[in-house]
Amino acid sequence: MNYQEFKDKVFERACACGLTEYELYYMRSRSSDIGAFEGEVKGFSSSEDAAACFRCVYRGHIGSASTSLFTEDEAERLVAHTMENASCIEKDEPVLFCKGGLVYEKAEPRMVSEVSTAQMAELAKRELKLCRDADRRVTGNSEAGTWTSHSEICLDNSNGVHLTGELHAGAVFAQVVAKDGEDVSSEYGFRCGSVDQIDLEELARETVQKALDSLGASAPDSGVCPAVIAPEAMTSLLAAFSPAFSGENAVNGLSLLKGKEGTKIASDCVTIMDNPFYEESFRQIPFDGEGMPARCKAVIENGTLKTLLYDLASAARAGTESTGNASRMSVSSPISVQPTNFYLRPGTVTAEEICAIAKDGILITGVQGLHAGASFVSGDFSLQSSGFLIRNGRKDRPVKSFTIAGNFFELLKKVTAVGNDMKFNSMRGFGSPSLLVKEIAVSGK
Amino acid sequence: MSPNSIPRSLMEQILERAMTTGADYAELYLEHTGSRSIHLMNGSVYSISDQLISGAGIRIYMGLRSVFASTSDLTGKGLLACADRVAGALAESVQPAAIHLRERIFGDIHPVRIVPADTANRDKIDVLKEACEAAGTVHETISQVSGVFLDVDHRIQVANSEGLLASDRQIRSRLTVSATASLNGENQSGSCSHGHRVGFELCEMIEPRAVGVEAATQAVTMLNAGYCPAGKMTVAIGNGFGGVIFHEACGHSLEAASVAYGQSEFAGKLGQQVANPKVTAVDDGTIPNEWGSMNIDDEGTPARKNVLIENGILKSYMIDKFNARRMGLPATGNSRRQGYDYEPTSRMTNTYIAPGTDSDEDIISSIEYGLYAKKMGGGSVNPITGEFNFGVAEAYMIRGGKICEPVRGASLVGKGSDVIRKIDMVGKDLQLAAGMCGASSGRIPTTVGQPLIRVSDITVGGRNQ
Repeated sequence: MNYQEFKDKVFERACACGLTEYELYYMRSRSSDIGAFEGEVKGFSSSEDAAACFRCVYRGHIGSASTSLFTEDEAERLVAHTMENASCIEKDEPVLFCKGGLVYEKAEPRMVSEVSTAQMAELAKRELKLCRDADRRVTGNSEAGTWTSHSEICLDNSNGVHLTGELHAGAVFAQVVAKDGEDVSSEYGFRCGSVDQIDLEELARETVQKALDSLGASAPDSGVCPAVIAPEAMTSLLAAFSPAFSGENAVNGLSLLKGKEGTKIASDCVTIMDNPFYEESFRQIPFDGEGMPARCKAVIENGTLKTLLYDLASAARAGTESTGNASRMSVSSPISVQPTNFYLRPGTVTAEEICAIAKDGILITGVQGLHAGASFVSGDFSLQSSGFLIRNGRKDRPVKSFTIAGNFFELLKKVTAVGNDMKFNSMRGFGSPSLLVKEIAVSGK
Repeated sequence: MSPNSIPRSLMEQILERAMTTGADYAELYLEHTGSRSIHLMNGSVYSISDQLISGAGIRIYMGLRSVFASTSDLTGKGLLACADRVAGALAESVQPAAIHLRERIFGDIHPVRIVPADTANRDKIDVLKEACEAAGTVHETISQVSGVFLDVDHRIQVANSEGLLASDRQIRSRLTVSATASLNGENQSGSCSHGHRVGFELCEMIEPRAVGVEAATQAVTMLNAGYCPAGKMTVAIGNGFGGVIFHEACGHSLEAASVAYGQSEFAGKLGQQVANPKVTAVDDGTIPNEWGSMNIDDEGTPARKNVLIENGILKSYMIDKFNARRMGLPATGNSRRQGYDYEPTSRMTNTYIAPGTDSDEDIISSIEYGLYAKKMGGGSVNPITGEFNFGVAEAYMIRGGKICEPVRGASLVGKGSDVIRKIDMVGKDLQLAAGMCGASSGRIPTTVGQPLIRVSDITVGGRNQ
């Protein structure tokens, strides 16, 4: 049965069980990706999925359960499981579903056109050829690919709320392997948008250049020095530490930012935004995972923590209001607090000027292993990195096989300049320009 | 409609339909998975994630090309439309041979006594509370404790154009406790987790209180630790989850997904000395009731024990059916996927460094100045270059052959082919530990393991110079 029929069955069953507050969240997606390798299509995959999550208030608590089967029997099982789960919940927090009659801003996401699989294959092969032809050191085990995804979301609840949204995304990526003698480097690059409108040449040029630039890299000396953190690396750090800005983590004692609203936690030049309507993003939905209006806000403004991010429950526990940040990592995940589009606001200096200000130090272009080497609870990080030395204010020789270590909360206070070279990762919903940090611990030779 | 109710004649029709455009092989994978995870936070049940996943993945090969499509619509119409989507990616028009599926039963070497559906939430909550309460009593600085009890009942069915029809039911349970210790505006966290391919009897195999105590002790130890010094040093890596070093540094680079495309530093090195002669490494999907075990892999090949490296010599890669074609080698029972919506590829199962001959005392006392990485965190690797990294969750300095003060914030970085040459001492006490491994075919349960080992030198990332 379709969503509408399934929803009617579930709601009918909920009423029959005496439930008065309940909600069904539904997502249906289709996506395709095609990879090119050695001039041929390496793999093609296409998926069509639908799943729904039911939540209800039962014995004073909210329970949830999800399914990807849409049958009458399953509607009954779903409601029964949800009630059983609700009856086991013990956390002391208000049970809230969003009310009707709220005002939602209009999203104007980037348009992503429908392209045929034949065209996607052609684009992937063309991107790979551009990379291969760019330099003789680019090897045959480089790859390229295209990806598109289209989703629709529905949220219905017992307060009469009925919301729908759409997400459309696309990307072209290149994985360039370069070899010079025994030295091998590999770099990944991508561009988001309508795959038929992405500048393939620019992507190839940029990714190949990155791979060639990092050939011949060796470990830098260990020490403490100024660091320029390039946009991609800073975006990874920001994503890894974003859970520290969750009001839910704060009320649960998992964030050192708890109770710091209104205080200075970063340098004056640091402003971090959470903007569900960020124009470059695919991820523009006017409502959050529990149906509350999404809205743009500064999280840090000129170094001062303005707000943490909240859903209905954590806001009630903290004595404040939802910021529209209830999120479902997937349809089946419990509601958690997540940023929408989270980024460091760009400054005015160019990337070159930032290196000039740093004089002697290190330029970090890549960080790896964030799931193990970074803890948002303590703020500590120790990460495998790659980049370049900065000598006399200019980018110098490439470096790899070293780690940078520090504490994210200390790092925010040590930012001395912010670049204008904003890069936003539309697939992840995070972005940053280059940053200059007064000092960072480097462990190499 | 659930996967178990899909008639064999429909499966045959789907495979035939998928092969109408020139494919020489077709495969249908059906999944029906129920999972629950109960999350306890500071003593109360915080959330329960309860999920039913069902769907189908259809894959065809034509020579060295593969096409994959998946759907959550298990009606006959939905499945045939999915078959048409895969077929549509190839262009020839042929009359495929009729397919006759014959069921094969490979047996179940992983008995389960208490299946998840027969266990009440309440029983799991009691175990969680016991584990978390134990964590809370370890020290006054413990400020936060959370725990998760996860169980999964994963049923799969694989049918292919060679006529194979096989199924497996994989039940797994896992208990995890995380604790945070706080003092003077600083937080440090610790965690401990145990999982096996069993049902609720997990709680009789492990001591829940010990899981909580271990997590909390780690957090308190790290709260009292200074920062780890940086630089190259000799490192002893503890048994159990320490085996993640082999998983990241070498395991991923021995998967056909990298090797078949020349994207591995171990490609073309079968029979060569790639590691220190002290190193023997094994991937074994047949260990009864182990977290990463299975009866058949996700292409229907029976799980088996593969010696990857024997006394330093590269003996085998881990190979799935599709990459087996490219490599001209047989499949090794390593094809795995998170679920129906992921295309399977070669992955690890239970992977470990086999016991050696050195005593733990000799390993520690041999180190004049170095690091004892008692508990590892996770890590990652770029198989193309072999460069890997991982975090150390609990570490101590070694001076004059003695384990000294704890240090925090350590990480290890290096290159896989280097580090396995530098594993120059291998202890006797092999322990295995459960983990989740993420790669192109999704997140799957894998086991890592090793005895205590010594790496003669490796770059330690830290903050004190």
